[in-house]
Amino acid sequence: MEYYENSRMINRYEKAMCFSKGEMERRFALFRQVMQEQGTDVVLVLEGFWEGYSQWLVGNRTPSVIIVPKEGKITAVFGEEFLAKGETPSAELLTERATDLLMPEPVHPEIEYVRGLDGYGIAKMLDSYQNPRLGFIHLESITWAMKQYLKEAAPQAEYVDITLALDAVKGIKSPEEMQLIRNAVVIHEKVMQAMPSIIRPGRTIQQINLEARYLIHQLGSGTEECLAFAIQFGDDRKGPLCHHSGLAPYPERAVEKGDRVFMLLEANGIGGHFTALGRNFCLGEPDAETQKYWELCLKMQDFAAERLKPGAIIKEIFDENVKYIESLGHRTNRQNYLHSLGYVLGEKPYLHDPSETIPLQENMVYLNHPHVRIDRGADTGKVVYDDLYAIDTYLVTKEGGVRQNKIPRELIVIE
Amino acid sequence: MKLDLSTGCLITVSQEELDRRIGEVRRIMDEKGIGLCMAVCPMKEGWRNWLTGTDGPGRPSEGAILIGHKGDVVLVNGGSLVPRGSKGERNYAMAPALEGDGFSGYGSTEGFSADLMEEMLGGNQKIGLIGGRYLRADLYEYLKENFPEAELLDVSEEMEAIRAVKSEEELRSLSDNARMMDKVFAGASVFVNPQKYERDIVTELRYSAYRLGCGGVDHLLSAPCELVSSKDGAAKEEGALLYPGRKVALGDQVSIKMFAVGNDGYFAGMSRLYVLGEPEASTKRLWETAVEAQDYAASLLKPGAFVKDVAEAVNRFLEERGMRKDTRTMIHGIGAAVMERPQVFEETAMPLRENMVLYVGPTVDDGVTEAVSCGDLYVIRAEGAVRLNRFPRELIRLY
Repeated sequence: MEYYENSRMINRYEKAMCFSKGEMERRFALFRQVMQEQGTDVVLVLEGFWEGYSQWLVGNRTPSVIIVPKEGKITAVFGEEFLAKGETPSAELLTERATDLLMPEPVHPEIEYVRGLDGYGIAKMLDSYQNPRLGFIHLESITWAMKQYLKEAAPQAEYVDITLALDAVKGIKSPEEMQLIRNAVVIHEKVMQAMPSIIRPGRTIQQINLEARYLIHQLGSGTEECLAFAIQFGDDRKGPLCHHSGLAPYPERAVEKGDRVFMLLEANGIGGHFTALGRNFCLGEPDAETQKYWELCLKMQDFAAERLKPGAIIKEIFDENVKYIESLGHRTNRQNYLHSLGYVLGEKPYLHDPSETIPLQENMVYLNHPHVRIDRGADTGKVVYDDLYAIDTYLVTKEGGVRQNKIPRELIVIE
Repeated sequence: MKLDLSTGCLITVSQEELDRRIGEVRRIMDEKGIGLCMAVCPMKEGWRNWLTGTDGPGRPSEGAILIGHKGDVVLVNGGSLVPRGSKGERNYAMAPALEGDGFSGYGSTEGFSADLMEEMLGGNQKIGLIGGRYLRADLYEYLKENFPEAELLDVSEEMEAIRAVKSEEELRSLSDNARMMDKVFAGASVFVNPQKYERDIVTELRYSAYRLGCGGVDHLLSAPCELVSSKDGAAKEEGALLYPGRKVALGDQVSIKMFAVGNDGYFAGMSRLYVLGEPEASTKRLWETAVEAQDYAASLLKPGAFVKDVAEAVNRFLEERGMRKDTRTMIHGIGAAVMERPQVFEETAMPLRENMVLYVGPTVDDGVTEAVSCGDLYVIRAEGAVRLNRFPRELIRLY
């Protein structure tokens, strides 16, 4: 039986809720272990949907703040109100006031869902400690208004950012999370394998993107930012390919013979965990240059994968990989090509962030897609990310990164 | 016309329309004596879309849009605070949103630069904030450090008031998107059929909207949908649904409320009830009440009225008919955000004005069966509210 069968649905139809009691308790214990190591008494998770902390901890992306005491119930706070002294948080969430909210579902009896941030309640929790330390996830995102409120309600607290300490352990996937990842990998491969029936001359990128998105949603993706689209498209022989970000003239040009279309799938599976997969589709035989760059990007991907071992630091992998591709006479760019995946499409540790020096550990899962810059003479680098690359999901093991995707690492030729 | 490749939405907004909006902002700046206006965290509440014509990826708590009295409007990417004398840092997690075939009069920077803001302030010491409650503490402290004499003034209320009144061009976009919803709900007659799971119907509804111009990478934001199926006329079903959810059958009723972002990043929405077979008499009565409640609300929505007062009148109307009070946001502004001002719960200071566009959909709940709602977009005209959706307001009988 599949792991998601008999699981409760989120919002009736959005997604199967795959948070076993044991898994949630593992997460609570991990979180509190980090709290203890960091000497914090209460932790506030701010902007927790970003990088997936809220989804991971309370199974819902919507709370504005999550309050985690050393012991006792975890509180997921909805809404933006700061409660006055003596005011009690309401159990009436009024979530219908915004349409994008997911109704909280009971993923564990130790979580309560309320409306309104009770800073005075937090102060009371802190009162039982000497030299109380209030920890934060995403302390950088605290608003001026909240900082003032907490200063008044809980003036005794010293603030500590524990985000990086949590990232170092949250990224290690449990057996239950690996099950979710395997489902997401299968979904991505099914959609990628369907793409040759969708990408064909005469169809626009908008049409291709629509179908890719429809397929991935049909198979169980959703409730988060899920990417399923052509990120590069055009004819390499005629100059830099169009990159998806930003604006393009419309009506957009239809796909033609000779084009290369790079499809990015970076979405979640039935339980909500993300993976990613990216492949190039060539309408007709690719020319020797495209083939050459493809082989180079696989070399870079292999180079990084070999180093995805416990203890390695992704910044060092990146720096070595830059030297490696330059030794082959080519260049890369500073794309964030090594990042972990969780309940959103990017979680730490990742490149170009303070988390990039956190040592890797066994059972972390990484997206790996180094870029090789295409030499276009005077036009080199004129279009953002004018590179060739493959995207695959890797598991960190003692022997190096193990690719989770079975789909061949080839340029996929559509005749 | 442009295609926003980040979201898949068509951008039909004209340069003149964007210039008009920026002109309106500058008019308020003049009135208030503000030298620099800063839309804080502009992904929230649709300000980035309204002020720049485009949307895209990014972290909601980061970024800003800076508007001075002259020169380019500047989109600030990321949340870094740039030291004096520096041009800023590149945020590698984000792609540029306003380069290439963008609109004229715009630029972008990576991070907040005091040098740039000083130049834009032009000697003035007053900074206006849109969404001031989202201002990060570190940005506040950066502003205080670099502009110790500056006064920070929250002008959200004034800006929301000018955004709420739609231009002719915005009304065209909203009407087009109302057409999109008409088509989605017409298509629902195909998607709602026996043996389909609720999940499949919702996926089809969203796909239908995406085909018609809806865009975005997060369907909870770009195509939020509430769908509840139940046996027609029966008591509300309690208890958890297990994967893969509820399967629709003959004799069921299916209530659908859906919003979707369409061209130019403008939202539209609708709510209707479908019955797979001959509806029960009680369901017919409930639906008739839903349409009457909407009509009653619309009859009161005139320039000068407050939506809070209208909602309270609608609740009296519902209670007189033995229905529960509707505590949801039955009436709200709609445009670049799915819920703009004026809104039922908060509205005490913004009277209705001509050319505001509202979603009007009171929920009718008899406390026994599933609640129903007839929801449509309305534009406020001098003579009253005019419905923008054309889809019939009938109980839709399938089979």
